[in-house]
Amino acid sequence: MEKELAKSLFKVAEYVYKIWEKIPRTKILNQEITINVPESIVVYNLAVSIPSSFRSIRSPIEISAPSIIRLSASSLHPFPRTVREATREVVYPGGHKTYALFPEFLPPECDLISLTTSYQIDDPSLLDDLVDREKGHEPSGAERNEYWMHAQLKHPKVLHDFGFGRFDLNDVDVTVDVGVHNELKATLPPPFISRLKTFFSVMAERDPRRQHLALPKLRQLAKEKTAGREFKILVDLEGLFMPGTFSKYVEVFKDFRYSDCYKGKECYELPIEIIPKKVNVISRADLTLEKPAAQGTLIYKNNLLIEAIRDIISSSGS
Amino acid sequence: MPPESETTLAKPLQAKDFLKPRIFTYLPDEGLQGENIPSHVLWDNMKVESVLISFRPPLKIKDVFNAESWDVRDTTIVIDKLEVEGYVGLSFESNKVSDLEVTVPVEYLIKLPNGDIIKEVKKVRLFRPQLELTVPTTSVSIDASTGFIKGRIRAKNVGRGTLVMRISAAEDSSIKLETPPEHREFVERFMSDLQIEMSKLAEEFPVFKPYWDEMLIWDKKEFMELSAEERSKFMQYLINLASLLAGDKKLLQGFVEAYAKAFAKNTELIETVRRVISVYESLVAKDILLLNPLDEVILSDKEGELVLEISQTDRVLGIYDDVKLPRIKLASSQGIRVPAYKLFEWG
Repeated sequence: MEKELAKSLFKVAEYVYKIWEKIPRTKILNQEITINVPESIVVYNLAVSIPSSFRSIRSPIEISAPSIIRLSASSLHPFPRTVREATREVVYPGGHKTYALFPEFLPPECDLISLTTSYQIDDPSLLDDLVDREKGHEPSGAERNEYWMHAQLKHPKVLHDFGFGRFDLNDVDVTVDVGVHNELKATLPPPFISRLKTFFSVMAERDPRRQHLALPKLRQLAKEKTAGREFKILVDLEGLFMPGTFSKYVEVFKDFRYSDCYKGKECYELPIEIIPKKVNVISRADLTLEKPAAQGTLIYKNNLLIEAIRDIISSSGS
Repeated sequence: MPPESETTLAKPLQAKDFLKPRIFTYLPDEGLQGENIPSHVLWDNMKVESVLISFRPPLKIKDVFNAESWDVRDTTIVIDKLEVEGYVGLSFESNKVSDLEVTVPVEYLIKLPNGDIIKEVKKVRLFRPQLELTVPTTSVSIDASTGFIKGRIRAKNVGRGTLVMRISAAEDSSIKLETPPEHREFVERFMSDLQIEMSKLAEEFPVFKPYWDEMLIWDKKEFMELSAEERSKFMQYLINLASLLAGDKKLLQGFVEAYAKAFAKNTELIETVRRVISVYESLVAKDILLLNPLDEVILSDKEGELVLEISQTDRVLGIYDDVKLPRIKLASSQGIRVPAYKLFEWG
């Protein structure tokens, strides 16, 4: 498992390393790796000292692997700057694509370069192979509105043994299911629901005789303060669970940070589009070899959500 | 110099503070019985010879990370060789127990090369929901004109955490429960349109296809009847799906929209109102989620006998015994359909 993991992660990095190892009089000084989890992209960075004769190499150094999506070179001395003209994406007749570094385009004073190769990993299980992720399924804490989150490296040795000067695993996600059902139950006033029910039963009635009998109910409904405004209330309630709004009701602390949210559905339940029973909140943390474990707390500000629901109902005069 | 825990660092911070030996242990304060409980020990600027961790049931060790060699004896793990200095990771399983709440101390003994031992103790409180049912009478009457029900069954979650439940009629019950036909039709239409939308999404995002194929398999199974192994697989599937969605914003948007489109195609305004009502009604009590709030008891004559069965689970799909309630006589002035949840008084 560990060998496969290393192969899947570092195959391209090793290939790039070996290319540089073979170039005479260059010296690899450092290698750093960053894995951006959401995009499944590995960014491999090599710092290499180069001799003054390096610029006289006329043939480009080709780096070619299907998963490579970007190659860039920077001159680190006398000050760091990207040398855009030194790297090119080249497509040969027949469609074969390669990335190339042109030594002659490097600045004359440059004796230290950094080469960054970005490549894609197409292995959906990779994160689970690398990281153990857990979360609290029920709220805890004194106010019962906190969810714990945790992420830790499973095999730091695999990463350590490669001798990277730096290894970063960025934006490891943990999705917490924030239950919102208790707030809805506590806040939606039964008369509001009862009006909706009456409205529904009257509207659904097809029998003309019964329709006639339902008229008093309709008259009664028309007298209600919120008559005709129920749908506005529903739309406003739905708005509370849109990502932009719901994010105000959660706060993420410690090693994790808030990333996104979406309306969730209970297992084996049809989605209820208007009002969800839970909202899935995605939080992210970074792991490194120096800090291989991350912990965080998501606080669901349920009191603010209750206030917001009450505001919607009361501003409509219910 | 004794190692410091992270919370006792001197402030304002100085660079030299970060050169001091430090140890940090983590264990969540609380957890649902049945969920995995993670823990870790991190240390800095010091060497550690071995780490000994003791715990008690219902915790059980599931995984140890960054240990080259380790030994588990009942409820003690000894890690005497680390792969990389500075970290030990642990994952515990927690089992469901008869107590509604149990506090488990976990002791970390960190042995230094000079023989000194640093001791840290953390505690995790493990809780679970518990449904309490009381049948005050075996004769329940329904007033057909007002809908008032006399002699309702009392139901309450006396534990902590969400209890997910389904009400059904036992095989030997003469009165049956039925899902209203319009709801069944809605489900069929919705699922058919959802399939179309999700297939399009799977074509656009091939990585999603196996997840959608698996979802169809799970959808065909009866949720409450899954074995422990299947439940664990299903939980893992849900985690993987969440992770896939978290990894691709466009896929996540497509996934959410597929549900919204299938819903919109089959839902008129009036249907939307119905669904809001059904959500509200499924929230029968604090920390109880009813899976089938729309199912109805059909009393075709003026009276009949009903035997109800309750199947239940929690947020980690823990296995709970089904409860078969005593046979009750249901009487009304005329034949009637009543949502099953109305036969209960929810605490």
